Amino acid sequence: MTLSFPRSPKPSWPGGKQCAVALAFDLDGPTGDAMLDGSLSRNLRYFTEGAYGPWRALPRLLDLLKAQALTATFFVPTWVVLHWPGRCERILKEGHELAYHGHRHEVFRDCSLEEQREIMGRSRDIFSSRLGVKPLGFRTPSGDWSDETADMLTEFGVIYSSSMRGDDRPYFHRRADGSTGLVEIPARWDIDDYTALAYFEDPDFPAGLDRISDYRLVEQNWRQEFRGYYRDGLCWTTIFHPKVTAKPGRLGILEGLFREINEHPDVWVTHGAEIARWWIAENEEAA
Amino acid sequence: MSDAPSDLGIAWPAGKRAAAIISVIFDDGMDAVAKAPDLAMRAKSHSVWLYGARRGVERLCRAFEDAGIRASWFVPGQVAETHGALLRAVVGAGHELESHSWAFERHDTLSREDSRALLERSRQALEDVSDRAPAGFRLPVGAWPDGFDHVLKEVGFLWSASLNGDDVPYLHPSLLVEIPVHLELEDRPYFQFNFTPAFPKGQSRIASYDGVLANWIAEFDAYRKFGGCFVLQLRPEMTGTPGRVGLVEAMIRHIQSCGDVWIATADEIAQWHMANNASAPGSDHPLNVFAAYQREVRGAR
Repeated sequence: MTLSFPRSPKPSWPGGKQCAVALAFDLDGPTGDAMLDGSLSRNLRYFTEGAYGPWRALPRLLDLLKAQALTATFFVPTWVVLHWPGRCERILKEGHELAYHGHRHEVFRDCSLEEQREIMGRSRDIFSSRLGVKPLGFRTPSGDWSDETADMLTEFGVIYSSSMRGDDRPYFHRRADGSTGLVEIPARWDIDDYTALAYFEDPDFPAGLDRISDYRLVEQNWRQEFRGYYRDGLCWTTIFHPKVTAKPGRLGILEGLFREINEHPDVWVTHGAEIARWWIAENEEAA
Repeated sequence: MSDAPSDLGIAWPAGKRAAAIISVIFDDGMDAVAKAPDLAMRAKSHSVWLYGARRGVERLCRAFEDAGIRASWFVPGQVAETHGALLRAVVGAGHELESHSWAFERHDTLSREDSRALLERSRQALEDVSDRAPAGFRLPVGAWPDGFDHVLKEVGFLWSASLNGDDVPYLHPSLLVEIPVHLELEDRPYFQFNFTPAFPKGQSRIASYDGVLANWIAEFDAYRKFGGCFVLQLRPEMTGTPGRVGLVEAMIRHIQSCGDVWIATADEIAQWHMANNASAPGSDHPLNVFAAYQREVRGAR
């Protein structure tokens, strides 16, 4: 008798592609905790650190994506859409996907179901009136969501979330009645630029004010992450923030990472929504 | 002179595609004491910061002199009083002293009159040691109060290097020039360390020197490529040490090896900006979005 551990099936991807990649950026700008508690309105210095993202970092990132012929998903709090409509139009015009990320980067877990619906309704209206889009994706801002969130999102036409951390391929947030519900495209902290690079003071991030990493080592880690997902044929997504990782000198990290992706054959680089649609179609029978 | 706008829409002097400022923040431990007041009563721990005046200033000045660099020094007025002779020597080596306020007061907790009084006192103290009134200001602790650019203009400042939000200088409503600064171009986030009180809070490992230099060079190269204004921010007690001054020297050598980058003092850059780039920022510039945000917050009340 041979000794072996039962192997999970490798997900299949369209056209026999080896793996799926949904490059994803959270364009938070100045939204987040300090805007939610109001302290940001008295802290121009901190505001400018956040506003740097849509104002200065995003255009550079879009140039790079274009140069490397890569497409991406942008999770955008709709407060940012209201204040930088031109920047957000460019995201769309260049073929990228826009998706929900709250209005001011609210912590969904701390909101009642009604409050969550209000945020989503407001975001839906802003996306529709300002940009003429009806997003299909959602990434929960700042931490966790609540037990009702996944089902609530489907009321707004959302078909997928990229909020969880506990897998390396898509799965379904099944409803109580067993129906499939939202597709989840999980991400991991391992490829979150906050963990490696973000550094702000007053308010402090990270809480212990750990050092900013050596950019070269960050690039090595992220390239290894991609290679691992590629080798195992999985679905890779990222948690990058233009204000963190599209600062001038850090764009080179992304450039190296993007080159690594483009040097591999048979990578399906696409939007979260396309992966979700594929996952639904693939699993229709099982559903 | 040809002033072809670079990628960031800023014109630099003929033949230059970007700019670089070497700045020094010399606060003689005030930053650390502001964060942990009992530090002043702990001789051992406080001496970590007092090393700057004792040795670091001289060592940085030597590195600058060897490279032919004129730096912009941000100094609290009270430090100018305490270390008059040392700062006269800094000025005598060709550097410019700019204001880092009076003694790490929080302007967001002061009345406008009190702010003005301390700013004027700082200007006077710095002028006393340098025979030149400072033109620039760097906010110490605390938040930037509403309309603070007007206060700074009123007391005689022409520029500030306090905020973030861009890679090139921009104008406040009062026409005060802002030279934006970025934490990753400072030495402190990488090198500050003390056991008790803990600096940084999580007592992280001191960063790899080689890695810090590589990060700074990656940033500088990108500023050069994009046409930005690179502002290196050093502290005598952090990089004016025997083991780390080599980083500063290597960084300056790298900057100087790029002939198309204008190496200037912050004051020279601010003057240049006023004369050559002085257009009001657009509605989606961080400054104006902040103003819109404040109107929104007031309207909601």
